[in-house]
Amino acid sequence: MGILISILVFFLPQAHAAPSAPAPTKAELELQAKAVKEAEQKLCYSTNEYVKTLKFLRETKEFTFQEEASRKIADSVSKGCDGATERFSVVLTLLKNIGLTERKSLEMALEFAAQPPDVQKNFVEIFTNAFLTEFFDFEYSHALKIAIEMSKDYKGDPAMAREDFIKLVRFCKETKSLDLPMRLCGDYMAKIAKSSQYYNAGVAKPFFDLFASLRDRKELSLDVKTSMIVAHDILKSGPRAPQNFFEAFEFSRKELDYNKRRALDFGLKLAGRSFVGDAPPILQFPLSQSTSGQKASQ
Amino acid sequence: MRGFISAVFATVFVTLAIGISPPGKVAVAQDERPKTTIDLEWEAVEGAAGYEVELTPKSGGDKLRFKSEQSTLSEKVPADVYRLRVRSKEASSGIYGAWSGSIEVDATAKKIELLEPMELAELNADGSNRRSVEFKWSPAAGARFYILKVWSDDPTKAKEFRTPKTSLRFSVAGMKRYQWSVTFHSEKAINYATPSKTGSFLVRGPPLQKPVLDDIELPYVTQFSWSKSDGAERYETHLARHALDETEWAPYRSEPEFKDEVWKVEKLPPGAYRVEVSAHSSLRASSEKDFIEFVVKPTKEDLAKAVRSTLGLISRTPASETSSQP
Repeated sequence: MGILISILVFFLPQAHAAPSAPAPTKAELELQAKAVKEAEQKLCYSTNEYVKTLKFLRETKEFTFQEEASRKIADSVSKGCDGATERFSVVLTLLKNIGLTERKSLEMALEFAAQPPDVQKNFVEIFTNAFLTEFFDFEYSHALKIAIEMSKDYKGDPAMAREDFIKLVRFCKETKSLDLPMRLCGDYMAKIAKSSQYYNAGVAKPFFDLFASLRDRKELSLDVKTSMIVAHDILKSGPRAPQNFFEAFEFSRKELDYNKRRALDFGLKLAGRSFVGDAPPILQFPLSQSTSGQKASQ
Repeated sequence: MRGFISAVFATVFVTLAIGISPPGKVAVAQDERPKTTIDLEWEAVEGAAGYEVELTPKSGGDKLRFKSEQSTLSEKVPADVYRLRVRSKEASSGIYGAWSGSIEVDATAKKIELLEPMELAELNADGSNRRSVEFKWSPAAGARFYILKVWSDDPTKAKEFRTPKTSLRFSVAGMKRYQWSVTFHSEKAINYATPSKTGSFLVRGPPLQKPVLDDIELPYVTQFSWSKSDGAERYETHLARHALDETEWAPYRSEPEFKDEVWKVEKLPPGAYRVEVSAHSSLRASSEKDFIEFVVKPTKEDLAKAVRSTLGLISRTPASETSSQP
C-alpha cells in the first residue's frame, strides 16, 4: 500500500496538471512593475513627514510658529504622504519671501502639501516665472491666478503644462525679434499655455509652428502682436484648429474671393468649430503621476 | 442823616471789573450790551437796617435799583455810565431816608477782545501771495469808533484804520507774521479805552512747489530721492507697506522733519509700498504730496537661496533619527 501511494503521488501531478502558463511577456512584466510602483506610491511614511515638518518649524528662523501651532501644522502636512514636508516648506518659503503674510503663506503651503508633486512643482515654477521681475513681472494676484490655473485647477498633465510654460517663457525672453515688452508677451503666453491640455504633446510646438506661419507666410505676414492674438484664438480650439484655419483661409482667398481681412475672419470662424461641446477634449493624461500628495487616511 | 450819608459817599469804593464777559454769554433778552460787574462799598450808617442803591444809566433807559442789608453791593449791570445814589433804611421805623447826593460810576467795558483772526492763526495766501483777512473784535459800549492797527515787523509802520463797526476786512501780503490791536474812542469826551491785547497771526505764502519723487530703483530699495522744492524748510516723508495679500496700508517709516532731498532707508523686504513726500515752510503753505506705489520683489537668486536654505534645513534634520523607516 505504501508503495502504491508513492507511485500515485509520483504520477498524479503529471496526470492531472493543468497546461503550464506561458511565461509573461516583457510588456506584461512592465505593466506589472508599473502597477506595483503605483501601488507603492499610495503607501506613506506619514510619521517621517510629521517629524520632518515639526523639526523644520522648530528650527527655521524665518517663521515663528508656537510649538502648539507647529504640531497642528505637522499633523496637517503628514496627511499629504511622502514628500509633503518638502512641498509644504518650499511653498511656505517661496510665498513668505515674495511678500505675503505668514497666514496666507501657511494656508497655501498646506494646500500644496496635499497636492501631487507635479502639481506643487507647477505652482512653484509657474508662479515664480509669472511673478518675478526677471520674467513676466506680473502683479501678485495675476501671477497667482495663472499659477493656480496651471497647477491645482489644471486638468491635463501637469508636467507637460510646466514644460510648455517654461518653453513659452523662454520664447518671450530670448526671441530678440519679438520686440514686445516682457509683460505683454507674458500675457499672451499665459493664455496660450492654458491650451496645453488640449494637445497630446503640449501646445508649445504647435504655437511655434503656427506663429512662424502667421508671421512668415507671404499671404498672411501678420505683425508680432496680431500673430500672438490670432495664434491664441486658433490654439484654444484644439489640435485640429490650425489646419482648419489655414485651409479655410486659403480656400476663401482662392474660391470665395475674400480679401485678407475677411479670409482671416473666415479662417478663425471655422477654426473655432474644431471641436464639439463647450471646450476641446482633454488630450493629456499624466503618464506616471505620482499619487504622493493625495491625502492619506485620516 | 442826609449829611451823614453825604459823608459816607466820600468813602465809596467803586471797583469795576475790567473786561467784559465773552461773547455769547453776555446776550440777554432785554439788553444785548455786555455786562460789567460793579463792586460797591460804602460806610455803614449807624442804626440802618439796610440800604437801597439806585443806578441811573446816562445813556437813558430804566433806572436800576438794588437792595442790600450790608453796606456793600456786587451786581452785574449793562456796561454804561451811571449816576449812583444810595439811601438807608431806619431799623426802628423801617422807613427809607432821603437819597444821598449822586456820583458818576463808569461801568463801560474797558478792554476789547480780539476775535478774528484767532490768536496764532495760520492763514494761506492765494496764488498772488495776498490774503483778504477779516478782523473782528468785541464791541465796547459807548464806542464812537474803533482804531485797528496792523503791523508786521515794525510797529511804528503799523497800518491804521478807523471804523464805527466791530469788523474790518482788508488784504495783506503773504509770507509774513502779523500783529494787531484795537482801541476805541468813546462817545463822550473822555476816552475810556485801554488798548486791546496784541493779537498775532501768520499769512503763509503760496504753496511750495510739489517735490517730485525720482523713480524707485528696484529690486533693492535703500533710498528715496525727490526734486528740491524752493523755499522748503523741511520735508515730511511717509513710507507705508502692506503684504501682497492685503490691501490696507500700514505705516512703515516716517520722517516729519526731514531736511534733505535723499531719504535713506534700510533695504526694504518684499511687499507693496507707498512712499509720500511733501514740502513745508513756516512762511508758506505746504506743497501737495507726491507719492509712488511700488512692489519690492525678490530676485530669482534670492528666492532660490531661501528655498535652498529651507530644503537644506529639512535634509539636516532627518526624521529617521526618530523613525524606524527602512
